[in-house]
Amino acid sequence: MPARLRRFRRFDRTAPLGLRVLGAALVASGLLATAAGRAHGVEDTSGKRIYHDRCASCHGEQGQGVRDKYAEPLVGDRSLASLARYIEKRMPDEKPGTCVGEDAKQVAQFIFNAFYSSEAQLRTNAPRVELARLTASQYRICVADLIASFHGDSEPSEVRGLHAEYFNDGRGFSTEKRVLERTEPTLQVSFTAQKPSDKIDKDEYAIRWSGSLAAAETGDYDIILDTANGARVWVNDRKRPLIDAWVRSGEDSRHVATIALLAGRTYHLRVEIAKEKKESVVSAVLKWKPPHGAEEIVPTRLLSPGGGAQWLVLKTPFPPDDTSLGYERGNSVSKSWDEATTQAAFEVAGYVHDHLEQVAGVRADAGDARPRLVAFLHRFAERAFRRPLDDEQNRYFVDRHFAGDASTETALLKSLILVLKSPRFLFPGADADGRDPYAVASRLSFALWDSLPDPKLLEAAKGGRLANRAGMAAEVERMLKDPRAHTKLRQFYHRWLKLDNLRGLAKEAGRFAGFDDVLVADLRTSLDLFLDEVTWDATSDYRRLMVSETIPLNGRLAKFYGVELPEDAPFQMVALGKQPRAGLLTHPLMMAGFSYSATSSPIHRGVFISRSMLGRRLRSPPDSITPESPALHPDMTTRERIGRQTKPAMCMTCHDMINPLGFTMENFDAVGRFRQDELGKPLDTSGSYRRMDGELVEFHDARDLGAFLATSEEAQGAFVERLFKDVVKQPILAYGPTEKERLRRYFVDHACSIRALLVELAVSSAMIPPTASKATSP
Amino acid sequence: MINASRPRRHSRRQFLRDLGARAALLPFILNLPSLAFAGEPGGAGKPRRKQRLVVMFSPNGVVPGTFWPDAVGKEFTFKESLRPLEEFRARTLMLHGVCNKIKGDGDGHMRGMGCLLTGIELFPGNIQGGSDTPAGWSRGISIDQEIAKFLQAEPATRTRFGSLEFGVQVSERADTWTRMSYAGPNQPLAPISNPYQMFAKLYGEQKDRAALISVLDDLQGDFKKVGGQVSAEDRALLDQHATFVRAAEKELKDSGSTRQTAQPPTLEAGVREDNEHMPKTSRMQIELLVASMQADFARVATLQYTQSVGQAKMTWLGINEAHHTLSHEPDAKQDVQDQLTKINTWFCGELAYLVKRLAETPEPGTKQSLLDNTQVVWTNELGKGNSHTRDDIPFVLVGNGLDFKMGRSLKYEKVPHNRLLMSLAHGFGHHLGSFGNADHCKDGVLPDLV
Repeated sequence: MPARLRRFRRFDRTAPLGLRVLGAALVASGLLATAAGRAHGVEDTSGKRIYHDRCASCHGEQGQGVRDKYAEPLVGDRSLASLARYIEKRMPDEKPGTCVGEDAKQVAQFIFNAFYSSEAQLRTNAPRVELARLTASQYRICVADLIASFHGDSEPSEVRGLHAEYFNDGRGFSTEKRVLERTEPTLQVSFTAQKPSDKIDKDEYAIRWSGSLAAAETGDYDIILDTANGARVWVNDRKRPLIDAWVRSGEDSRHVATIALLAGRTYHLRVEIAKEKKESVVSAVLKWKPPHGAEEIVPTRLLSPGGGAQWLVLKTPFPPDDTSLGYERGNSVSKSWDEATTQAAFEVAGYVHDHLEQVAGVRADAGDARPRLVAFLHRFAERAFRRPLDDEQNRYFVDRHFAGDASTETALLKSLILVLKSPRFLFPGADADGRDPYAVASRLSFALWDSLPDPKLLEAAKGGRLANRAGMAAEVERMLKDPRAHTKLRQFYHRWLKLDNLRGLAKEAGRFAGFDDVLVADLRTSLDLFLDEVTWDATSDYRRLMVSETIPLNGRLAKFYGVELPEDAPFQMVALGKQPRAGLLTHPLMMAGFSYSATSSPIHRGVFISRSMLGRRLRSPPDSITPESPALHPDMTTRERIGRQTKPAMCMTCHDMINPLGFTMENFDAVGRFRQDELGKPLDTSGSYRRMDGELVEFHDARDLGAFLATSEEAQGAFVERLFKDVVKQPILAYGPTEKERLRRYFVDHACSIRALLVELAVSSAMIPPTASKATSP
Repeated sequence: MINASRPRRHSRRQFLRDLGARAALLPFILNLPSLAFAGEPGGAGKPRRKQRLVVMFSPNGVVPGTFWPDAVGKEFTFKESLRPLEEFRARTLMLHGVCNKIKGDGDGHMRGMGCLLTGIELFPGNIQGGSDTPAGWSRGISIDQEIAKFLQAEPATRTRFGSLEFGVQVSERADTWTRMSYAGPNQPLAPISNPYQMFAKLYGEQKDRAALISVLDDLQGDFKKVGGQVSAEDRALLDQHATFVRAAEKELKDSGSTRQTAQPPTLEAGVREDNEHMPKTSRMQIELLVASMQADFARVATLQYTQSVGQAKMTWLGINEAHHTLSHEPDAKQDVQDQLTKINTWFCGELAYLVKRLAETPEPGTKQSLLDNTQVVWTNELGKGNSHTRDDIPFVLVGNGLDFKMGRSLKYEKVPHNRLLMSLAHGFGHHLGSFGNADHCKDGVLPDLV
């Protein structure tokens, strides 16, 4: 990797890069101060007057935009100089070239300071830490964890596969009849005359597989059992089978059922099949179709012969949350959301009622059921509210419902619904004092898990161990080992990399033989494994995301991408030969996703790099533009064609940034395979990027770009801000104008460790109480 | 949440049922379907009267000599097995000579049960009965479900549940012998044998709704307290939420007052679901069935006593041997035949109680009784236990739900029972061209019923 970094420096002509961006930020803050002074002192600057006279009719007096003229607010990340240059060349729209020189500078300065720059935005729309309700996803996770906190944990096992037991009799599954036990890597058997064991001498025999199933994604899973026999499959629910085909009926040997699972959890799994006297074949194959995945045999790496728990996975649908800022946030309430919380509360109450012994440790018909239920509900409320209740609250939420001759079940129902409908549960930030240790614990657990504090974290709060940075960091270290933290990070990556919106994965029929659903699912797994590997290995080095030359491949992928591996090889880190690969940037899934069905799309790739990697703002393109078909210019390379179409000045405003970034990845075709020429012409993969401070950086291929992004302060800053938003679900500016830069420097000082950044970000945001949480009335 | 004050067994069976009951309740709390006008004659055309079907099943055949009347026509007398029904003789129609002619996979009991209401063959499968070929579930929908589907398709006849499947002491096993209702091929429906679970399914919603209203009311105080802890800007969000909560409470209260609410029957608490308590659970289920018909929760119901090959031990009749075991004894064993007659007489007594309760319960909004609009059909998977014949399947019809001429004993010449199943559908105005295996439907509905 260091070689790669050096290589790109060849192009980096701004030696003291380290302080340059920061310097720009300081200059901007300086301007901010003087601008503020001016705004209050000199009312009628020439810039303001020019803006009022020549710009405001389209952009609005405050740059807010004017409908049917130019609706988007004038907000952006150009430097002052760049803004002035742009105005000089392009504005006003109907008469470019009439606002130049000092006028352009003046108006640029006014715009920059009044509303355009992020500092101006900070001043005018001062972001604050807002009270938010649980998002739909947080709600589901919270109730799952809340209920599970009463079950006790099952120890995760390192062994992979399933526990298989063979019984030499009909359908009894009695231990005395068990003749064979072993761990099998997948559930996949077929026996005819050859029996599974010599010890089976009966006409009727049965097989049971048990263990657990890990879900990597949240969503609906199709569980599929192909069997020639009577069979049952339990997933999650230990008692009610998900598939009950114990009565074999008809010729259909394929059984499918859908179940919703939450990511990052392992679920109880059990499959039983039985051979009936007159059946000659015994066969079973357990497959699934995970969300975003393809149908496949449930892979060994997600099976374990032990562990697995029963989770409450809510079925109640919630209205979608606001994602306009790039992350889900609970910033508004609606009637349908309120109804969903009621329905969900009933669902949870129903689950508790039906699993009373398991969840509450109470037998409904036991003599002391009522006092024990009351005690359980006190703990339930404490965990749901993330803090102990005082006596009055205990009475209000629990005790009074059990008074007199109220029926136990009605009391249980009322108490549970009241707790789950209370704003104390639904609005995690509505704490009396944002500084108290319980509020800190809550912010930590939502940051790292999107969930409630577990009993250990509540203990730490109670014991005063969250009073300082060191104590918190110790808890955070523990919490990072929890699969929930890994799941949260994975979901961050999915949003950051826009994996759920990759539109280019359906390819033109017949053009890329072998690039099918199964391969795409493998690619997704490969990228996930890559991100996990980089994030959770010892160095957790962000730079590896951008420069790694190895990625995880299995046999199928290796074959398609031209690497030697046995066909059935499981996923392993593989170098892609001499191809100029650059970590996730050139991962085949990303390359294929940011492509058209037949050709690469440097524009999509360039937009992705600009926005997601460098954090640049880009306006939406004019709607009327459609990409020119390659068929119109059969002799042009993709690069030539795009260069031609985006040549007009109005396009180049953005495409002068987009295209030269996207072109660097032209070595990778529409399915992410490496190529050296297109239409018989050697590829031109050179590109460049003009930094916010005006410096031009040049690249000659994707590797150069990767090396640049690994060390670019803009890219690091963008990563820090993106991670912050996703983890804390608040705007970073609400934590002060310098917080982003402080975290970026922390990140760089800690060898770009994602893990270190995550710890710092969680701890510092948990320590800072929401500024707006101070009570303003009794 | 089920009847609360009563101690409950948390058996596996209970567990499974509760899940079903709870899931079924939820939408009704929130979505508040307007039930008040369900059943009103709708739109243009001649309004049909309310019509219902109740199929009662008891297993293992009958003793023909003490079951079938000798005479044909209006002048007939009940033999011993039918004696409890004497009061309703004029509203009874006995159909002799109706045969379940379905062949194929499965033993006699399995085909007797699985083809009884479906009129179609079983799928091949892995359920082995005796030495016959094993079989799976039925290949088709059952007539009760076909009629329920027909009624649910029209707003005027649509009800909350469409159909209700009651059981009395039905085994926990799910197999071809324990299921007679099918929502479609390979879709057997499990009857609910636990009266408390059925109660929760029918009335749990009313209780949940009352609890919810009181909780929503309580919440306002909590909103005030929490709102006092946050900034004015943040309080706006909480206030908005509190407003939605208040509105939901009002909506629930308003809809509750205009909504058709049914008075639930009072069930004796703590009745265990075991053989000894079969007479009690039978009556509890009948009360729930009648009440749900009166409330128009459903217009189709089944009431299944045990299952094919059912082994009820009617100790309360002084019989200590299990029913199916007895039914295999030869005709010559008179003492056993007497016991079998006694058993069938007991089932007939339950039928008579059901009919009586329907007859004394007024049809809401009319001067009629429920029985005036209800067709009860008592049937069995076999004609006779020791021969396993599916000829002369007992079909005893009581009540006036369909426009059949009642108060008669009819004898047919070995007609396929598919034709009777078709006749039931036609009685509801559902003019099926065939039902089940079409080969048995060529001659159309049974003659002489109307």
